[in-house]
Amino acid sequence: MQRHYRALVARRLMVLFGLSAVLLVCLVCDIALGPASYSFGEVVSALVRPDAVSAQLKVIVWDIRLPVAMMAVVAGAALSVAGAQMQTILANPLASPFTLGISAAAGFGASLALVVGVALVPVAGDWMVPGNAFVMAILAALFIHFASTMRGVTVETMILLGIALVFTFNALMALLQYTASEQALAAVVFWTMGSLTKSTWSSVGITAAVLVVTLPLFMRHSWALTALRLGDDKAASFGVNVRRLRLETMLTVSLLAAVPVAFVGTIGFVGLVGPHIARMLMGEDQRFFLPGAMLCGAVILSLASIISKLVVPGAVLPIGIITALVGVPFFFSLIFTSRGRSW
Amino acid sequence: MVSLSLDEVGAAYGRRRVLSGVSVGPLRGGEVTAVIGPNAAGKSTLFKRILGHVAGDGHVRLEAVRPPRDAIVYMPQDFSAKAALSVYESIILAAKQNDSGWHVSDAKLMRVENIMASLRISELAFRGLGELSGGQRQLVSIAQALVRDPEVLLMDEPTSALDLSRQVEVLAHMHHLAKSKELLVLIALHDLNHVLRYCDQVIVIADGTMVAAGPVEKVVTEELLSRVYGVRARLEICSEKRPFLIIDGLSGPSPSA
Ligand SMILES: Nc1ncnc2c1ncn2[C@@H]1O[C@H](COP(=O)(O)OP(=O)(O)O)[C@@H](O)[C@H]1O
Ligand SMILES: [Mg+2]
Repeated sequence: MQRHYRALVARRLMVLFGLSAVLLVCLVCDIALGPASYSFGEVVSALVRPDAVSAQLKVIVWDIRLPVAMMAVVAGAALSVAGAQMQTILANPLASPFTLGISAAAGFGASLALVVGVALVPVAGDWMVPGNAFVMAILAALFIHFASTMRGVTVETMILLGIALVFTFNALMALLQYTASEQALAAVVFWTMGSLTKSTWSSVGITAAVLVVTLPLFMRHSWALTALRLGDDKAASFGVNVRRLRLETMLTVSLLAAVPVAFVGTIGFVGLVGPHIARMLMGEDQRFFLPGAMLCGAVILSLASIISKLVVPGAVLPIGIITALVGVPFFFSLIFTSRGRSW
Repeated sequence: MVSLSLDEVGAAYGRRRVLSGVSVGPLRGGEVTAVIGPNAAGKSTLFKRILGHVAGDGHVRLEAVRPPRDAIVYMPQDFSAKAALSVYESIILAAKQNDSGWHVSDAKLMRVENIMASLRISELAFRGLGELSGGQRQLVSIAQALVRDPEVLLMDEPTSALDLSRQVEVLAHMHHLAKSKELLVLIALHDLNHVLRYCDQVIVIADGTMVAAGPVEKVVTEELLSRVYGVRARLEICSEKRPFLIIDGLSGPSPSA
């Protein structure tokens, strides 16, 4: 048994390693592709020796493509981890930043900035849209959280609350769109499709920083979070302070979901499916599940970013469209072929 | 030696009081105490009150070697089997809650294996939790409790889904553990013949109050069974000089109805 267990652990580490390798390949391909046609070799040499290539190539690789490619990785990772922990603490396979209304709230916040020009936080210019989106996303997450602490609200009810939020914010957004100018309307529609193309080093940096700050918190509680999956009573019987763990995790997850959504818009699929793929690959021991979910999310979004550049030559499709269209069939095939059933 | 006494202990969920006036003790290590009573009497609630998971009046006094959080181990009535974990992992999980390191030592794994062997569930090791029957899940739950090395063990209906031989096996095992390791065991049970056979003390709860408590042979009487359960029963002495129970039928409308 011991040997079997150690082998299992080794296999999971191999899967994590393999996912990292796939991610690295995706990242390089993502950087190599783009409307400006440079060869693979040129791009790679711009990456390793930035001073040895033309200034134009350097700018394209370092200031345009790299931030976008990195954003795919960090946003995918953050959204997937957020979805994973939402599913864990709410004991529900449907929980994700999208289904809990956090994306919709962010969309409404962004529309406020794009259509009415109202800033919810005192920032201006480029930061107004993500600022608004972030504030609304956090508010939605906090609403879900405090609703969950009310008496009589079960974790099952929470998804219903989330869906209600989705409809509410979508209606509010439709209202704004109805009154919007043609130009603002186009901007809103584009935002809700989800796009990485506006990524800058600062937005990548902020998202990555949030990821770096929150991951150790989850890792510290990895045994307790895994125990939560055996039900509240069982976790409590292990000495886990269930209420506090759920509170801490929900607050952390709110941040983790709100930040990438604010920068990249509505990318619904990653936060739901990244965790499920990780669960099928390596079970729910959080020591492996958490990094697994992170890597799966990063790979999915990075792949989607690559595909979004390949479909229409010379153009970059909004990534939200790609994740759903390509991801869903892939996910279906996983569901129908996987033997382990976990929900 | 570990000891536990309850002094006028009560419990409430929010404003709803569901338990009051439980006084026993001190119960000592090496003793198996049964907690009996009709459905919804408050047996599980008493366990949660002792653990501090539910608030209430009165005092729970525990003397143990380790702090209460580690010394008292509780086995809830059931647990969710939705997680993508194998049986073996789920027992390691129980063993690792007290220390936060990520590495699982060989000694820990050995311990998990020994406990699984003692409960005869070794062959389930790499089955998923979702593939278990109710009885198998109950045995896993017992293993999860034992692996945490309790001084006080609270077991909530640990045999309710087990077949006859497994019931006897588990209860005999617990009885043996109590005697050999000076464990203080509280078990919520419904089968009174098991209580007579394997328990030393008994706490009787009905309708949220303690009806009686003390040594099993003193407390479990025909009169008590009629009063608490509304059941006509005879206590006989078997050829080994132990008491056993024969049930004749209901003595009237069930009091809980
Ligand atoms: N979480 C809860 N909230 C409110 N009431 C509860 C809760 N759990 C149990 N109760 C009530 O407390 C009473 C005792 O329940 P319990 O201790 O589970 O009984 P049992 O003796 O069958 O284990 C019952 O009336 C039950 O409805
Ligand atoms: Mg009960």
